[in-house]
Amino acid sequence: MNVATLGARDEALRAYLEGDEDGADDDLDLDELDLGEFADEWHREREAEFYAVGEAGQVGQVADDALEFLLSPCDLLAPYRVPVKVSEAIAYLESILDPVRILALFQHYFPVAFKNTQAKMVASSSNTYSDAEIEFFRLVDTHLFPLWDYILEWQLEEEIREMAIPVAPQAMEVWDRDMDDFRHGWHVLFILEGVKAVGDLPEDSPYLIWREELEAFSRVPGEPSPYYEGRVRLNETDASGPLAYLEDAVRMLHQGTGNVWLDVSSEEALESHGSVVWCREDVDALAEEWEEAARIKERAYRLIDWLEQDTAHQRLLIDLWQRGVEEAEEDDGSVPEKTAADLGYVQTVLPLVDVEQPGQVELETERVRVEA
Amino acid sequence: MSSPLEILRAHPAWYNAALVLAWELKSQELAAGALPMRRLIQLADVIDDAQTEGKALVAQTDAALRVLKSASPAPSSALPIGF
Repeated sequence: MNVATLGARDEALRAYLEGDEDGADDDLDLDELDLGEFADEWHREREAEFYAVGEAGQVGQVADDALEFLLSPCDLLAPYRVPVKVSEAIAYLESILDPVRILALFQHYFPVAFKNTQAKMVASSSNTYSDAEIEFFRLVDTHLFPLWDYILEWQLEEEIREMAIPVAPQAMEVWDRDMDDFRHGWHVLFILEGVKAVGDLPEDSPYLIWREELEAFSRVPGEPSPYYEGRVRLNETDASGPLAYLEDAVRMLHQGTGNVWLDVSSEEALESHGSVVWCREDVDALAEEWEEAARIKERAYRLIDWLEQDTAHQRLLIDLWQRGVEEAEEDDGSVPEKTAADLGYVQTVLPLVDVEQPGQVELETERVRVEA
Repeated sequence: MSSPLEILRAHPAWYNAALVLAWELKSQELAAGALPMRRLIQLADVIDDAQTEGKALVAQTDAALRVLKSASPAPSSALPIGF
């Protein structure tokens, strides 16, 4: 590249930085010119010139480092350019709005903490979160709903900021996890509901004493359990105690509570990442849903606490399911009292069943389809 | 107001709400340094509205231009008197 061309390009660059395209050289079409590529080439040529001088004059490392700053005028001057196009203006306002929206939520949901915070409100770069934003995320996680540390840490490490809320799904995902991952109060219920087998029990499990009885409940995946068929019936005494929360526990383990926090798996949450963003409407909706999820969890864990208190309580559970099986064997094939829709977790338990009109399809019809 | 020409006349680019506010904020930033975040938070709704309005005007103008570009020339007798 000769000196004349170099001068013309310098002029074009200056004109671009000043937002004066008319001042550019006529030979250069700025609309078609890739300024990024142009700047790189300009940078390489200056660097070559600099090293040519450097080799003769023994320029040291300090000057070498300074070169990075001296030879990137586009990057250095861009922040000082006033937006002159609507697209630039919208991009500039967007860059301001992202942190402002998050910090406005901080002020709205935690006014005292916001007033007292000493954390920096401006991030070190446009690709990361400020300390105040991170403080807000921690407060949300503690007081409103759980955030997914996995995504937040990844964003901080990779310097990626986004407006999507990294919700942390709370579904049990029993199928993908070991029995040991759950409190032992769940173990018998998992087997009775067919989501785990007796062989999955830990070697030191106290429930192995009922191996034979439990093996009777081994079923192929998707086959309805006595509970699903509405054949597990509680007497008045049972229904007034912790067993009253059996419904919540069974729905939780099948991810069929109807609550997004308890039903959506990690994989589904990742796929739908970005569907909720940092705005009041979404934060309110998630917080309200999480309150309901927490109530369901609390009820389910009251049952689990009770089951863990005494093996006799687990034995009672097995008896209830056995009575359901016996009833089914004696049954003449009439339709049970509860329909699939009454039980609410049709699609989770029986994914192959096509329920076109929930609430109107009776279990007998579905059973025929499953067998087919 | 439905004519594409009327829309274009009513929304000259220099009167775009996003551009006006961006120019104002950037000028303040250059004159006095980074804008205080707490003040920007108070302006959050104003900035949001300006950006939304600015985007909408651009979309409206683009649509009007597309209509004009795809329009067929009309005979002079079809134009309103005095146009």
